[in-house]
Amino acid sequence: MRTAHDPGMRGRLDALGAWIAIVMVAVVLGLGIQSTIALVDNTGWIDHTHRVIEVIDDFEIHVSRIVAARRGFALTGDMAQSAKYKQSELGCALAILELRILTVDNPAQQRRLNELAPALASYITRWNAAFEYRQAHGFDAGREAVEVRYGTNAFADLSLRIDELTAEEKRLLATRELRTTHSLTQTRILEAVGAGFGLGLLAIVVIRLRREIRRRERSESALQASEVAVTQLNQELERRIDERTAQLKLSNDELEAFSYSLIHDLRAPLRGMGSFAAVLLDEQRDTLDDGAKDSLGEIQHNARKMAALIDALDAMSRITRCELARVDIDLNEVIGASTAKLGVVDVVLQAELRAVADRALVRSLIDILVDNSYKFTRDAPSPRIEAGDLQLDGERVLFIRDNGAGFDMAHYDKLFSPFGRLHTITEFPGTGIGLATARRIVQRHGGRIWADGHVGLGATFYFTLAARPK
Amino acid sequence: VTKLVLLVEDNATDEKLAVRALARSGVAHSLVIVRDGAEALDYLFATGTHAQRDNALVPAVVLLDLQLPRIDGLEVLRRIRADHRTKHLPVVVLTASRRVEDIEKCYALGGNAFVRKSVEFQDFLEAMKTIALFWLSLNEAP
Repeated sequence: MRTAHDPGMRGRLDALGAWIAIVMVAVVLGLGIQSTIALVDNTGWIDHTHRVIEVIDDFEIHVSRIVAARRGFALTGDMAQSAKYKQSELGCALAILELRILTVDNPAQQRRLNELAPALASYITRWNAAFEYRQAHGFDAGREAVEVRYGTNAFADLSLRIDELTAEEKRLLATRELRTTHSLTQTRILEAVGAGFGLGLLAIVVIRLRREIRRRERSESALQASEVAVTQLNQELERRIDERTAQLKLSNDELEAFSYSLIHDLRAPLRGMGSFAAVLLDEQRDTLDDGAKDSLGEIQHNARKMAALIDALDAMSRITRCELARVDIDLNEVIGASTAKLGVVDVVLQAELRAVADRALVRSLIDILVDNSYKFTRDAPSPRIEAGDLQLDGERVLFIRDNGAGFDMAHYDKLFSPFGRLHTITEFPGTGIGLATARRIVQRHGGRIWADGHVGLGATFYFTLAARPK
Repeated sequence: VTKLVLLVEDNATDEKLAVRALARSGVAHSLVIVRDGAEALDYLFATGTHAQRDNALVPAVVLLDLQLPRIDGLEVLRRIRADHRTKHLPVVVLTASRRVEDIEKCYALGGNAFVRKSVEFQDFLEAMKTIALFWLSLNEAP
């Protein structure tokens, strides 16, 4: 089960937190930009409204100039006033044109402007009539008063429309200013909340990351400590191996020296016994009776047996001592040489039988196995020795088989041990270390030797001359 | 003048057998027996206990055992070959050893022959007779 204590889960949580913080900051940034754009836009609209109001004011000024010019002319009949009037009339027309353009998006204002133009026109028409009358008839106070009053009425209508225009723009201005204020407040709140949340999240992630880093540092130093411990342990082990190897080498050397002097020192007295028995038999043959001769013969016989035993032990100890020189060997040839020394026996070989092994050792091995087979086929009606190879569990196995006395598998464990006999020495004479030597030879090659036998049905010795393939 | 045989042998039984075998070889000889490597060298170089020996008594052959007290046979052989007076002296190594290494060392140090002491007295008799015939009558000493 995954929990918050699980490092993987914890890492994922931190990553998720970091991503949320980044997204939050991005969202806040986006909203801020959006809000700023809206604010700039709104400010533009406020400026725009101010401009509209300005133009309306201009228009009003032009209108009041027209009124002033009209009054001036009515009172003085000064034609210069007429030029001022013309100028203001143009100003009015321009102001209306600009207002139309400025409020093109506002149908209500456009409608008002539509009404403003005729109102201005009627006002001006009124004034033109008065002007023409004055030019034609000179100053007539009564008529003038009527025109002025009429003009005043027309002016009031115009003035009302101007006020309406202004009022609409001022309302718009108020709305827009309110919207700006609102938008600003909203942006500030959004920014504050977003930034606060994002920073908070980041702070949590940072704290967790720091904790995680500290935890990793701790486990790293623990790892380093354990690595140091392992290295020390390895060094200690290597030192111990070196020590043991040296001890082993020393005891091997001691054993070697021991066996050398043992073999040498055993041979000398043996030679003395056997030889002096021979001397007696030879030099005193005329004075000794048959019983004495028989006893001396026994001494000689036993000395020979012991000599053979010592030779066999020496040969066996030599196997582990010598250098192994692997060469390609024709085993049929080696078996042929071994069997040639023997008496009548049927030798069955396969067409080709080779091995890569130490020539001298393999010769000894084959000698031992062939001698063994020959010895045990002594009483067989038609003695036969067979040699060959076969595949067993992907491994090449060599074998030497005979149809001799065989052996009881119940005593198999004694077969390859030195001096381990499965038959009495009078049945089948021998040193008792032949098969032990054979086992040493195959082991020296990294191989194995084993046997299969049945009493009266013969025996098969299997062996390999290389380590079992992995 | 009978030829001289120097027998270097520490084992009394082996010595008796060698004396007997040489006597039965039918080859005329005189025999000097020393019982360790140091004494063998003393005899050959007329030093120590053999300082007073007759300088004319130079052996025709040395029968040298390998397993000797004080100085072993191979070392004796090395010193014989290292000295100009004895560097051509015929040396037959006579040993119970059957080790290939010993044979190789013997020849590497300049031994003239390597003969194994057989357990069979008859074989030993034959060997000693052959040695006596060859080194005492057939071979021309330097």
